[in-house]
Amino acid sequence: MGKNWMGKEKYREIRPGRKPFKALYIKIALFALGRAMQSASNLDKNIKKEVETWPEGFTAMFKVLPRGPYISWMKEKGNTLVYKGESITEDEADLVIYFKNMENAFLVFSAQAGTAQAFAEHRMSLKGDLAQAMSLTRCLNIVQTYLYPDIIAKMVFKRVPHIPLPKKLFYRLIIIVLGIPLGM
Amino acid sequence: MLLLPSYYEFHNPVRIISGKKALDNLPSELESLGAKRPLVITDKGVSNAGLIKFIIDAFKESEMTIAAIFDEVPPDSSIKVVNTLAGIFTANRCDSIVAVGGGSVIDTAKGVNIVVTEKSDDLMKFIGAEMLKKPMKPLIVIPTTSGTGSEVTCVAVISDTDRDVKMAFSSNHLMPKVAVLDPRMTLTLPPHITAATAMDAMTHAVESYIGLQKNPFSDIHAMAAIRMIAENIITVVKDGKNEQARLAMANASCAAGAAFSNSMVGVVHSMGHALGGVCHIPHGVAMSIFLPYGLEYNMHKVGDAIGEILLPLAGSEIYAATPVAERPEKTVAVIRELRDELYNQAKLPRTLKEANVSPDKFEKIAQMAINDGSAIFNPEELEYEDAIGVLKKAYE
Repeated sequence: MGKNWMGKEKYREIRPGRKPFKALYIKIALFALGRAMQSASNLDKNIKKEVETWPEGFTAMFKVLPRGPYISWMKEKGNTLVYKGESITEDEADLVIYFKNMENAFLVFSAQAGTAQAFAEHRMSLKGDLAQAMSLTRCLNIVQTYLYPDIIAKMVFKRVPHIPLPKKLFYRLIIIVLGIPLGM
Repeated sequence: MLLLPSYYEFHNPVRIISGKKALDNLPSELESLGAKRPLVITDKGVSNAGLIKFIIDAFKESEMTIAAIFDEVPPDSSIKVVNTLAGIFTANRCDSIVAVGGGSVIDTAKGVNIVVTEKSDDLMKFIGAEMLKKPMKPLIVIPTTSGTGSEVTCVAVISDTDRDVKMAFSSNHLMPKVAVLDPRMTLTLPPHITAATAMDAMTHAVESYIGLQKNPFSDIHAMAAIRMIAENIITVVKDGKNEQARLAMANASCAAGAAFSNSMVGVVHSMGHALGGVCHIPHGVAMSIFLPYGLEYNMHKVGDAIGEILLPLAGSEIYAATPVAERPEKTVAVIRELRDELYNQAKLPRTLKEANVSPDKFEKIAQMAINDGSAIFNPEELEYEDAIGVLKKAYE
């Protein structure tokens, strides 16, 4: 086989590279979202109402295709939503929301696109029941409202979920100080 | 100025054959897809109207055998009939599917295609968006209503009555290979169904033009569809035998299908699906009821786009005579006038009260509407209280 001008072999195969920093960012963002969701589900009545409609043992997952990272939640006894990280497999999950690739996940987790926009642009796909996906999406919108500054929330959401300011600030503090780092 | 979305996708691989004697190309189309033994799927309404004769006649003088004709598809596509048909497909050594009918027949055919391709009778594994990965058997669709646009969509809904769930599938592999639009196939539709299905097509076009993922290609299809519907809807309701108008409506429905399959639909469909689920109101009727209220609901977000619809809807003279700021309201007003005319001609209900929907069902409808997948693609967020508000406005 001949050589190109750099002295390397021409027509050689190119194995897929990696994006370690983006992967790490998304892994951290997913972890924060997972823990924040667990924490918010104990605080916010609208999330509680949504979780009530899910069957006990219901598992939901977010996964970046094709290799991850991914996170999952499970609804356990007493209407509690528990963050399960990577301890549930894709086949076990009742509902899986996939990001088609890492860049699409990065758009959502860097608050450049909302969930609705990402779905509309086919950046995400879905395994499972659409009605439950809608319910999970509403929960995510509320959790992201606690996590994002208002100016970003207004850019990302069609309509920012209404939460009174004192409550929003208080719950935000609990989620960020206790929920994400300590899983409370 | 036309604003390009920052990102979009447009997909329509369906070959469209439209016009006089279009059906007679069926054998050659199947042949070009490598098919030899098609399974024809239809329902009693189609076979009792004598439309299957046109299919059988199309095969005369060809060298192709119809492997089987099944005309017992129920009004709601169910997993039982899908599995029965998959058995017939295998037993009769079929290699392709021809669906002749409306939405439920076409959805059933898509469901059969999933079962025979995936070789699994448990469709639960494949529900969701883009979960089907294998290329399917050739599917040719011959619509007998001008409304659903299912001949160019990648979606199928199959109910599992034992588990009481509606399974929704969305995959590019579900796209038919060919859509045949032959005016003979819709000539016998009665005025009421003609009106309801036409308003379904109109809603597809209108909602796709204002949807979250509208793009230049979906816009072109939507605008062409609105114009064809506006120019022909009253003619087909008054004079069902008018072949030219029937063909225009079949084309409009198909174009609207291509538009919404790409840019998606919104609140009118969320409310309509829920109304159908709770009160069994036919889909086209529900679309006609909610369309003006859905536009008003989104007016503050997409008023400009709603105003642009006035051109294909009312024609250039009315469009030019209406100041830009008044065009969105005028669009809604023209749609209301159209509904009044359809009420006079075909008794198509304009309000929930006229459709005998009781307000005590509103809570259930609203809850179901916010869980409908189309809500996520609506320009404005749809929450429970919003859905209740739309229902109250649409009541009388």
